Amino acid sequence: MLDQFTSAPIFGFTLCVVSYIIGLKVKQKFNYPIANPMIIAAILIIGILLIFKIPLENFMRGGAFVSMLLAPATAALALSMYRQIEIIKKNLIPILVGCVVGVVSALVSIIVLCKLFGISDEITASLIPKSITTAIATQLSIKLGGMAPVTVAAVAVTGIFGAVASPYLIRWSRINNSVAAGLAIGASSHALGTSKAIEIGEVEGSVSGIAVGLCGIITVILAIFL
Amino acid sequence: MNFFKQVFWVFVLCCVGEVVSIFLPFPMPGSVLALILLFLCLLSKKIRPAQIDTVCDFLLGNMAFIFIPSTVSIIAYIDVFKNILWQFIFICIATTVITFFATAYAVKLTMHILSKKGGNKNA
Repeated sequence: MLDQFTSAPIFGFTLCVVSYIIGLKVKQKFNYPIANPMIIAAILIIGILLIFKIPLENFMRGGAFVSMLLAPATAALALSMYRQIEIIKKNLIPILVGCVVGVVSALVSIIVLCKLFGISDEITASLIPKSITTAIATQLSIKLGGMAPVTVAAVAVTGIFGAVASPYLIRWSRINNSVAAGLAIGASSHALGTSKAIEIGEVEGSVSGIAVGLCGIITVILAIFL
Repeated sequence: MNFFKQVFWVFVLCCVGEVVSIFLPFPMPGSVLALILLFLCLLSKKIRPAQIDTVCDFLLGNMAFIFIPSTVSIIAYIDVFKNILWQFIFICIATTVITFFATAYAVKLTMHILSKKGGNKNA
């Protein structure tokens, strides 16, 4: 009976919706980066799957409908970049330089550290896109021969750390320029960092959002040569 | 009807991106191609923001929801994580700090050089 119910696509989909609503409620209550609705929802679902011994495949029949929205969500980043077109035009060169340097430093540091720790090629491939937004990162990870869920975890750890640490990093680096701070946040910790950048200031938030889209594109282009 | 028109533009561009991705000789996700295509359409005013904003804002505002299934799939990779958990977290954090500083100083330096150049022009 349970297997029959859980293998219907409506089960996985509804489970996602219910746990997301719970995740949002928890976030509203605590409003702290670690109270991330995606992570809360995922922990809830994993708990339910384990307790009731529901196979992951059953859940994914409904989950696949949700994951299908990944591509349109990535495309939607175009609109958020277009809305910042005036800031992009005004700061075109600093933005381009910042994003290219950000992407290169992320790629090089990830590859060097993975080599240093003797991390397998498969996991290295999963970590390479970890500084960019999940939508692009998972797709790139698969194309590079990585494992998408490992990438999702790496992107989440990166984003949560960036959102928590970016105000301190701004202070330590003595960056007193809003454009530089925003680009640094967006390039290093994608959309999760951007949520913090918006709190820090309007320019920081906008520029960070631009960096998310642009760094994603630049990473994909540079990854061709890896 | 308007909602479906919005879905139409975004999803058709995604399909175009997927098709182009198949024929490209290098790995480039179809979704990224769709992003670039949509940005070009907006820049050239082929698509106006009002034609896609309801759907796009919903997707942008609920990215966390869309990633739930991929995050849950992590339970299939527990063995992968068991042995490298600390290295994994260290690499994630260290590279974030390195990227932050590299980007911040690169932008600061660029703006410094640009303002000097601009200053000379004015002088």
